[in-house]
Amino acid sequence: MLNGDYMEKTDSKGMAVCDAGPIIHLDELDSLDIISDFHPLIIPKSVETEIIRHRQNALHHPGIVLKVIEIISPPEPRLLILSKALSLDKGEIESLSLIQENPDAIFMTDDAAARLAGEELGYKVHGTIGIILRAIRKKMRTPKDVLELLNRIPKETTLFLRSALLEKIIQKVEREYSVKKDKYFNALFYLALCFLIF
Amino acid sequence: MKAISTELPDQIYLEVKSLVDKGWFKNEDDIILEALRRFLDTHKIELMEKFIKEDVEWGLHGKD
Repeated sequence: MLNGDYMEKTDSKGMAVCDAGPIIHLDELDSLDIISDFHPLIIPKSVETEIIRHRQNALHHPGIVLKVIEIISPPEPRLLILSKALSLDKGEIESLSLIQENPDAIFMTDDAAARLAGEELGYKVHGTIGIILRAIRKKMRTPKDVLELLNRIPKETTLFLRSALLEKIIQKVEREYSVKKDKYFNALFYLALCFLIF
Repeated sequence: MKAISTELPDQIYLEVKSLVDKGWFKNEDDIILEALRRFLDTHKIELMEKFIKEDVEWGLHGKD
């Protein structure tokens, strides 16, 4: 999947705490390697259990350095209030507890409520879409590769995304990286050919 | 009230059934209704769109 100029990885070895969603969704796209530059990738035990339930093999990706932590102490009061107000599940609460212990890490989640809580607490929170697009910036995928991944999301993943919004994202990537769909090139080519012949 | 039918993965269904069998809920319908209510309370369309748009900017132009 890596090709040409995009073979070289950056050396940014930041830390990340991950909820189950992004790991499951990236595994569904066979693209877990795009989070391999996060060292370590920390998940609480409850998230590990959730991933095992849905995508057992995701935890055995060779490029990922996973650190599983069992949370023993209860969440601190502010997190406890937020978790009750936003009906967060165990995995989300424990992930947020971990990010509180590693405040410079990125918190990866696709759950809107968990994200709201994370941002409210002042942390950097991102989801699968951001992580996929980041792969271009980090030279792990070409813009064309990323467009292909985005197009596969509706049929191959359990990530819920409004189709019109996904199309806007695809168009933005095409615009920013001047990537045109092959079918448009083909149509233009045949149009020009017809014009020359007739 | 509206009725909808859907398919659940086996594992999720077993967990739902277990909650009913152990007496935590009257039936499967009550669990699904409670889960949906909680989800809808915290997943507003505007909020989800805002997060995705922020993610697109970070993905394409962020620093980390």
